[in-house]
Amino acid sequence: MSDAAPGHMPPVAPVTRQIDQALVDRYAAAARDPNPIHRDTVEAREGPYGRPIAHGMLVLALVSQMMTEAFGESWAATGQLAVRWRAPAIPPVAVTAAATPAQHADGRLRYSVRCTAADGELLLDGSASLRLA
Amino acid sequence: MSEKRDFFDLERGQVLGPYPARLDSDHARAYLDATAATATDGSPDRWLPPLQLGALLVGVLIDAIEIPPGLLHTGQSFEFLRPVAPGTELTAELTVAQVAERRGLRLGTVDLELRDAEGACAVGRASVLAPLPSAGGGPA
Repeated sequence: MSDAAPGHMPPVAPVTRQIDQALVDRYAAAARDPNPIHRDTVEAREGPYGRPIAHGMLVLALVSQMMTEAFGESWAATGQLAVRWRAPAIPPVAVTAAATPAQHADGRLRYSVRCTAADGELLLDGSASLRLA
Repeated sequence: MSEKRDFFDLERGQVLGPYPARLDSDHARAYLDATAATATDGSPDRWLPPLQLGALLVGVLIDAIEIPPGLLHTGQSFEFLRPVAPGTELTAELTVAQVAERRGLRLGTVDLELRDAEGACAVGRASVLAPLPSAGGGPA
């Protein structure tokens, strides 16, 4: 693909997942993350949110899943991500990852990405880019 | 994993690791299940979910340092350099890129690198912060 305006970049379909405590618990086990703020613990209940929060990397996983569904192995071979977390995802919450075409330069497609809660709260934003094979 | 390092004692340029690691197909399926993701053409049978490599690196970081109360993971970047097949022997290494103290907070950025037999296959940078113990140390 030759360089083109963002409007001519391939669209990326958003991904929505329900993040509940069971999913957070499974992620804690799979990622071997012992941080008690993600589980039903005294630390979580006495923390700033009064309850467990989802792992930031679990929220970010929706972005990578979205890019994998759109670009397959090209994402695994050339993908780049840079994000900042803006607010915690507090289960149960439906989280949507979305991408907006931002730039196509030097053969690289760059999208602005964000994850939002069902009430519209911004959880994460940043960029994702890749080079198509 | 060797003894954990105190987050507040990390110094710029300090190297943590290398740590051997390996993710097989069962790990990949558990990761997909734990992220409510679906398998795609080629993944996880031929190549691991890319962010699972990132999660592995963050996991190594969590294992390498003593997590202080209130630690927040505020930012993250990753670059995936090639697909990685399940069962590949990997090595993770962490390098403290920056530390600073500001307004009662200790800020740290750590470079993350995952290598296979060909060299780096995924790299990244994690940004974290935690309240200084003298600032009260409660959860941020």
